[in-house]
Amino acid sequence: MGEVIVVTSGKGGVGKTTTTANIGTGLAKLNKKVVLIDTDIGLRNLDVVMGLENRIVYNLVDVVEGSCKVKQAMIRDKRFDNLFLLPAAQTKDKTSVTPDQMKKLAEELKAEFDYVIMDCPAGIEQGFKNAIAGAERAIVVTTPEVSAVRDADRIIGLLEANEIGKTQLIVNRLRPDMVKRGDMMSAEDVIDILAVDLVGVVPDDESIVVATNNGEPLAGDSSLAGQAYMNICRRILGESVPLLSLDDKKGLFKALAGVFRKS
Amino acid sequence: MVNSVNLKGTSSGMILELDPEISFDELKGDIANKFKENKNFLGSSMMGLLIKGRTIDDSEEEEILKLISDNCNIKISCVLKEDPDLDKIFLGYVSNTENKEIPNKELDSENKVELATEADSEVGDLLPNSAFIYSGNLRSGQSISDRRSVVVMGDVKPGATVTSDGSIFVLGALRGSAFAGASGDEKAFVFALDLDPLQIRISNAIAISPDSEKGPKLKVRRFRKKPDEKASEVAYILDGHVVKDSYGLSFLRNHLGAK
Repeated sequence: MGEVIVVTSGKGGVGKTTTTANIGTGLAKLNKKVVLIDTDIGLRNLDVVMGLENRIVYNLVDVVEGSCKVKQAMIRDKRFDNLFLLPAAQTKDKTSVTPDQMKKLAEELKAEFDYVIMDCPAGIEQGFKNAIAGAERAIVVTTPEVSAVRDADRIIGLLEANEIGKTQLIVNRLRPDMVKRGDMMSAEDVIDILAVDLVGVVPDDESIVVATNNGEPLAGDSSLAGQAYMNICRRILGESVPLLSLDDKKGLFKALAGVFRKS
Repeated sequence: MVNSVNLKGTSSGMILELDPEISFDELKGDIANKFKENKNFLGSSMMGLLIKGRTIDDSEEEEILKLISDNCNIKISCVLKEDPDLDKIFLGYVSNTENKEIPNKELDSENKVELATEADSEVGDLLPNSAFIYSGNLRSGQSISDRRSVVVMGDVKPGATVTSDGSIFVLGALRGSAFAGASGDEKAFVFALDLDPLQIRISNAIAISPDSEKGPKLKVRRFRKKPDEKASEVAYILDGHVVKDSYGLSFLRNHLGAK
């Protein structure tokens, strides 16, 4: 029996979809059978980030409405045989699906997959309610900005109200150089405000942009962000992996910053 | 006079049939009553008016329009008058067709269309007799679906879908999805000035765009794009597979000629 995880944030643009794609890829790399569900009906993105946009024939709404079987709508990843995507419909809207239907779908997929990961849309309306309906665990993504943290706080409240057992936090797009200068909240500051468990910190990294444009998530590769996502995946599996230690991070970033300065 | 005034509706207007025998003054009362009776049914929309059956001059026309505006809420956008002589020819044609005679040229335009479609349907189903024409870009999330062939005068962006039982013509760039021959017509095809779709489906065959090469997608696009040199392209089924070819004489000969 698998686990249903929802990736959410409240605020848009903090990296929910990128995180979903990378966690999915990372877990698949660790030999787990994973299905990613894009619940952002009408503004689908996950298929583009995964580089699977051209393979979509059926979508989530088709499945829920019974126009096709779940198996028909699931798209196998280009690189990993044990990673699947269930894309959202683009021509419909959030009201095409109800939380009850999502719950049923999650139950069905849970039987077959180790992890069912829902990519939640921004906001707290119907799309959010759909995405969290079947979830047992929530990963809240935030950036170290006051607006994103404020929204994350609201989301965590809503998750608690909906009795999602476990809520974990990813601090995304952290820039250690700015933290050091005191211009940005550190991961610790964010945790202080939100009072939830941290599951990982992902540094702001140019390679993410490149990977997203290429449609190949970078979890597990040599880039800093790739390593950070892989660590997050290990922690999701229950391993205790230390955070990329601050010294290490500093070192790496210094090296990185050095390269940029030279060029 | 029971039926001195007859009112018929069409999709965008009304046909007012007037008795040619009685006096115009008598007729005015009937017209007023007719529109008063139908006030609720007609509503307050904008309509065209075709006056039939009787020759009326400009002052009479004005009186009729005044009667209409006094008695109901519709707005008349234009008025067409019909020559009773032409009407006689028309009536003659209607009785002639019962004898299967070839109709002469004095037909009203509606019938012309019908006759044309009858003639075309013998040619075959490759190009259904009419097309749905859409002008404008189709953006992500928008879709067109029509049983007829579809012509898009604009681009079809990624995430947009065009579905047709017939063929699809994109007079612009096709970068989204196109589904031609949706009810199983294997001779349907997809034409585009710039054919670079995410997905093409024709009948039961499906083709997806090749996965992007390494390196940012945007860069690849920029190199490839030389619109002046690019020929229009067409996708069709060959031996059960969707193939893409430049649109030219060879396509016309092979695809349309083979039929």
